[in-house]
Amino acid sequence: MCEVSQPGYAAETAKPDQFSKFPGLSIHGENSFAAEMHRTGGAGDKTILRPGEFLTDILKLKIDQTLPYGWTSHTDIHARRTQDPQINKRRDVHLLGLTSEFYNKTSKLTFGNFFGDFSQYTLGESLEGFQAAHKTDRFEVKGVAGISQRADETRAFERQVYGGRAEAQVIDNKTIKDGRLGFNFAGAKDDKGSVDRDFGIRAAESRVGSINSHAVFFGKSTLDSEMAESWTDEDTRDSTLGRNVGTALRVNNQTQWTKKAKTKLLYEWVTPRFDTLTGSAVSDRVNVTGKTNYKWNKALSMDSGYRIQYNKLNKSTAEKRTYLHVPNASISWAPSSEDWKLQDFFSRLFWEQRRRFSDDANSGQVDFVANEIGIEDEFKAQKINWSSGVTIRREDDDLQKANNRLTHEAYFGARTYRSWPGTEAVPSLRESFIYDGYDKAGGRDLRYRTTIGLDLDFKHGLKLNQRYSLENSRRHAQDSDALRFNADVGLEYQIPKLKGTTLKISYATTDYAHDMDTQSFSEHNLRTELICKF
Amino acid sequence: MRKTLILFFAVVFCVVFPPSLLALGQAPPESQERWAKEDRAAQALETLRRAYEDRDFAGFFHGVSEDYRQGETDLRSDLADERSSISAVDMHFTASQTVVEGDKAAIQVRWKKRTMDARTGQPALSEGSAEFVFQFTADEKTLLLDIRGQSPF
Repeated sequence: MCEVSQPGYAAETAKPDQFSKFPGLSIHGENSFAAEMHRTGGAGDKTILRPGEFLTDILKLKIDQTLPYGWTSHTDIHARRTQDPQINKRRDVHLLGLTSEFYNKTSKLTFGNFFGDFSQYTLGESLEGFQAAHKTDRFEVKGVAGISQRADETRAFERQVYGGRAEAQVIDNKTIKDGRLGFNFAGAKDDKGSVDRDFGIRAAESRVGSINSHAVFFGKSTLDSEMAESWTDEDTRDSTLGRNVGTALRVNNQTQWTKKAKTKLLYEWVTPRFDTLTGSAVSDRVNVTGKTNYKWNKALSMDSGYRIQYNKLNKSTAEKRTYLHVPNASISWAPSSEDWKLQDFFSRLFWEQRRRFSDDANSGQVDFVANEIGIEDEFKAQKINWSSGVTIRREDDDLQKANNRLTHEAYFGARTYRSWPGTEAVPSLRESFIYDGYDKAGGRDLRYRTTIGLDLDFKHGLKLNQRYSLENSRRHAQDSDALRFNADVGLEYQIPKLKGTTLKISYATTDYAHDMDTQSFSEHNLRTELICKF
Repeated sequence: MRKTLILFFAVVFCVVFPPSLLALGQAPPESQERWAKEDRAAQALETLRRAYEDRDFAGFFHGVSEDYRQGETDLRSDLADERSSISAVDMHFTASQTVVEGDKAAIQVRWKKRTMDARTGQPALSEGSAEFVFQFTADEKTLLLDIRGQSPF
């Protein structure tokens, strides 16, 4: 686990006498006005865009105010008004977020929208409510109470969330550095009175408690762990359902053995009845992952790994246990540009196997195995960055032989940078080929794509980006050939006399011509946007 | 016509009241840092979307944390299976809200996706909503840590 250390909340506070007219007050933000025109053709049910003209106005406002005794207040407002019914069904101003914070060097009070962050198994999602936190180099305590939001904007039900977290540095010496121990608890309860309750969605309630730890041994080996217990009622209105009690454990270790060798190990065990409404876990799962990296010398290094995963733990409702084994290995070579005529040369040869099988399979049968081997290269020559790669992938499905296939993928790319007085240009080209061969009289499919790009910077705030791609699909199945064209052109101009004001004009189109007219479509999006940053 | 007029007045408003006049004072470092993190998370999400559309899975996984909470192995397996079953993807994101807390940021997104079947080339649409959680690492990377709700990948 790699986390940025943040001992406190206010690194440096604005001085109260900084502004004569409004001492300590700062107001900044961004307002964007956008007009979009969508046009579609062909099969209307295949287009993402909805035809029409739409205006969208987005306002982001950030207000900071220095307060006495080292405190600062921060308010964040984010609102949008749009005519596009795919975004908002109503045309009124939609308040997307409103957050108010009061903080000093060690403490923070938050009201409104915030991200509740305790630990993986207990809490890690956006909330609307209240949070109080106190943090020093050696101690952290946090408490939240709020409502969990549905990710979509038309929130249909509410979930009450509450919890707390405390973590302290318990040991810090030469042997064990930054040894920390934390306790986390989060509860979540669906609001039975919400609208969707009438449509048969269960009113769940869960409580999750966990202990987490972190330590660095001898300055070389980092160990993170968390052990959690959950108590969940799947539907509080159904008294026939019992309470589910489950356990989860994860242990991460990363060790730098020498300057050349390092390993990473992960063990995770989550019982079938572990359920967290506000944290993250995949229940009924054991996952063991090991990775090594060894640098032979400055140019040559090797990576290898093995992942094992299986389910159907004790009290599982799964009918059979399925295993997934994923071994992989790669060798990378990056010689010094002084010793090799190709500049910035990098080459990687890799292999990965995914093998899935079940405990009810016939002897010697593997449900599915995929082997992939490939090589990819990058280098610079004649002021051009070149890249290429080839991958061969073999899929063998013992359950459905018709799925067996051999796939070849290849790509080739070139990108360069050219400069003239007043203009910088980055042209690019990429060609890719995919060839699928099927075992069981499935024939062969071929797809190839050409992508051309040209980015121009005319200085003085004017930029023009262009990207065009054409994909041709020749398939064995009758009436399945298709031609797909994409274009994306964008113009950006920073208006010189209006500081912080940018005009953007873009045009994007997709045209899909399929052998069957009912599958063909086209869509166009012309967008003009004026962004004012202040 | 009415929409054109509204846009015209919006442009006039922006020109008559230059944004620099609305700005007041200097934002404290914490506020500037928070804004920078919001931008970094939005850029990381766009990079993931673009790599996914381009079927550039190596590039896609450069933006995914090894500690991805729904299981990095599962995500790799899902995308490997998907690569066999669909040939092309178009995806649109509409972000609604971004919140930042310490070394993490969450973006709520409504998404629409169009996939082309690998064997028949026939397009199919799907849509959903999800919360993308990103982690800012010590080496200045912004990595996908979690997807809550309906994952588009």
